[in-house]
Amino acid sequence: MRTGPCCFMLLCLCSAPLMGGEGKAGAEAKYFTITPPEGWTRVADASALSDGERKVFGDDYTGPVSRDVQSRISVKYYAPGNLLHKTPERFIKLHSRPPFGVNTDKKVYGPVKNGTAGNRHAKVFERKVYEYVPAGAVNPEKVLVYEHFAVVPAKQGFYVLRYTAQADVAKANYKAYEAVLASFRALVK
Amino acid sequence: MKLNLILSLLLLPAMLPAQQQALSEQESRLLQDCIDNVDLDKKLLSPDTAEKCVDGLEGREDLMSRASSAYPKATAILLYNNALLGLKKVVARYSESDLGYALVRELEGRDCYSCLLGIGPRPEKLFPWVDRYLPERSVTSRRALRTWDALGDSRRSSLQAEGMQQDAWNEQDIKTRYAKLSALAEKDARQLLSVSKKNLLKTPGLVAMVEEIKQDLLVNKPRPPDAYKLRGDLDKLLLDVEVARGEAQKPAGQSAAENKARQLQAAKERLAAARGDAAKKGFLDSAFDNYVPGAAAPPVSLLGAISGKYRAIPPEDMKQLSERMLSSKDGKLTGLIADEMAGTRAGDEITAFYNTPRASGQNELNFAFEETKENFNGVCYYREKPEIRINEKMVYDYARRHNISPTDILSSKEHMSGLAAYLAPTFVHEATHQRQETLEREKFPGLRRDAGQFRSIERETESFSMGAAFTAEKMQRGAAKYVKYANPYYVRDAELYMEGGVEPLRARKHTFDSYSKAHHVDESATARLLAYSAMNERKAAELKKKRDADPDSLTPQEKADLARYLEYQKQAYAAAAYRRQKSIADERKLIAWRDEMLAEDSEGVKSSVVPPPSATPN
Repeated sequence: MRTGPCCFMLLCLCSAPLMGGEGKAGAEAKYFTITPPEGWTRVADASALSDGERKVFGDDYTGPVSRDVQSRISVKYYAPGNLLHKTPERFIKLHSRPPFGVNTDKKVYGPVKNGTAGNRHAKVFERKVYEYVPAGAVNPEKVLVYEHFAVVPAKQGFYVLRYTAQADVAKANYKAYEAVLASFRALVK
Repeated sequence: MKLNLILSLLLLPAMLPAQQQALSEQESRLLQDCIDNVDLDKKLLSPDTAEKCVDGLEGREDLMSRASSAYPKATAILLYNNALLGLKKVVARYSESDLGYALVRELEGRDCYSCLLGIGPRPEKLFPWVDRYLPERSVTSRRALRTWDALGDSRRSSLQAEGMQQDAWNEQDIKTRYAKLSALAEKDARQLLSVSKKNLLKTPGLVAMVEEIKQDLLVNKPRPPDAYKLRGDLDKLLLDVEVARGEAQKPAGQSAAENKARQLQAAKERLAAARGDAAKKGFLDSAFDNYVPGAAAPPVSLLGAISGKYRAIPPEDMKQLSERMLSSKDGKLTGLIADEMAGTRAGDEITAFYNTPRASGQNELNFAFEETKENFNGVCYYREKPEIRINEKMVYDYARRHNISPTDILSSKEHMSGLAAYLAPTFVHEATHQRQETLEREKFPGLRRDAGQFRSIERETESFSMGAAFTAEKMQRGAAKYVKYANPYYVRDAELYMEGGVEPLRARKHTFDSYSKAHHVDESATARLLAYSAMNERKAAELKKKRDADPDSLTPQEKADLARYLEYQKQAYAAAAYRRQKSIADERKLIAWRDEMLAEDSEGVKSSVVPPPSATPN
């Protein structure tokens, strides 16, 4: 199924679910559907490599900025052989505890639990980490950031739904993420 | 007049004939869409179409070369579409004064291509476009740019008291608005702080007023010298007023201490509620998300923790410290930072760059400490030969973190090594810039005059990624020991790199507001052409038109000018293609390094924590 621009506008107006990677007709449109978060802006991938090379497909939405940290909701499908995370276990391991085994700045990691994303089982976890802003400053401000992850396994590859927001605005915007989470439909079994 | 000229160059319906066969149907359609998008008669100006144009045209030297025969203003079409895309990125990503200053660069600087499309230069000209294409940013952008309607009551009242009215206000440019509001806020803050709490108890809308003032205290750059202190004082004032309000209603039967604690808590709750109400009124930043503005923490004093021990490093000792940290002997890097880099993938690459002789000599090390711009860890100056300077505040910051005097570092082996560990990622970052600049100067000598002017965001992405990869490798080899001396900022970058490769670094650094407009220009010849100035671009278009009409009509001087311009253009596109390819190669390499590090992770993944997939949860 392809999602052309005209179709996209109509879908937006009706708040109907969108194909993952909407607006980019092609293979990625077949991986999932979501209802995009209202009032958030879809932004381009932050990679110099093509989706096809990375084998990572999906969308990023940015929302309110607080203390130089931009809220973000992303929905990604990691196809088999993708360049970033070979398995969902590896993704969870790298994100649910300090990647180097040492908690350098008192980040808080919640337990990995069973949960759901739309109509699928998921492993869910949350964490509180810190960003240092502005970038490259001598003495940057340490800013608390909340993140929630839902990792959805599939027979081929896996999905990740992720919410990132500066702590002051995290609660107020969580409902936008919840709506995306609830609307998620994986198209790869 | 300027606009008419541009328009006449853009409206090209009858310019498809002879050479069009050089373009495929798909290419012609893309170009026509791009032309239509910036045609002022059609008034499309879609950022999404612009994105397709930029993706389709940038770095395509062959296509642009063929296109410029059929469409003499193909470059201009790319410029305008690039401007629309740049504007979308800025409006979609930033808020408050970050957005304001980004728009100063986009709309109020030289070569404002958006302005020629009718979007700018004044903020009010931006809003119809935002409302049409980025409606979710309508409120945020109006607030950030301090339109009259988006100002709060107290701000409007203060301005009106000085004779300012809506139309005159909306004529002001962004920086003027910020400067004016900042000055008013400072004055109002001092006035408010001098009023008795008793009188403030009766002031309606006090919380909203104070929150407006607090925002404006930070909106201008430079900020008032004691802006943070004033904000703190205002917060304290609000809390004191709320406590005083509660004292009139104290219940009986509690001890004095209990009463005090209860009153303080009640005052905080009332204050939070009042701030929430103020935010909902719609003129506070982030009210969009019900954000309750809190007091921004003032920057930590660099010297506060060591005031009794502080002794500055004299300039001659600072020079000696720099040499012991890093220098070049017989063409080889030496010193503690060189030792620190040794044996890491990123560090060895950088060392090899300096240790391998180059005919240009552009890779020579010129390293020193210097008090650079505020908030810069370091800088690579693109002078005749690149120079790397580390902000000497880094040395003082290291001393503060370890609660020692800066002079103590010089006599301590431990802290000399510790300082090297602290500084090394910054050196890797800046050295990566020197390597980028060296390679471009050597490959594209014709662009030499612009050297360093167009440090696109991709350069920063590579530099931050190299710093992160370096730190990641150090962390992996012994995080517990390394973090004692490491720069926490780079440790966080290293974590992001291990979690997601280059992508999280690229996404994050894009919002660094210290970068100039040029950093946000997409990887393209556009950057070079901007440098070459719009005037030359137009002049070249006229010369090409004249040549196409009658090749013999050009004077020798005009022929030379045109040839020079075309050669420049050719190199510009080649450089754009090179930078794009380099970004791809860099990202592949950095992902491969990360893979190797993950493979080296001895712990591995022992058992699956993920349930088997199923369509429906129980």
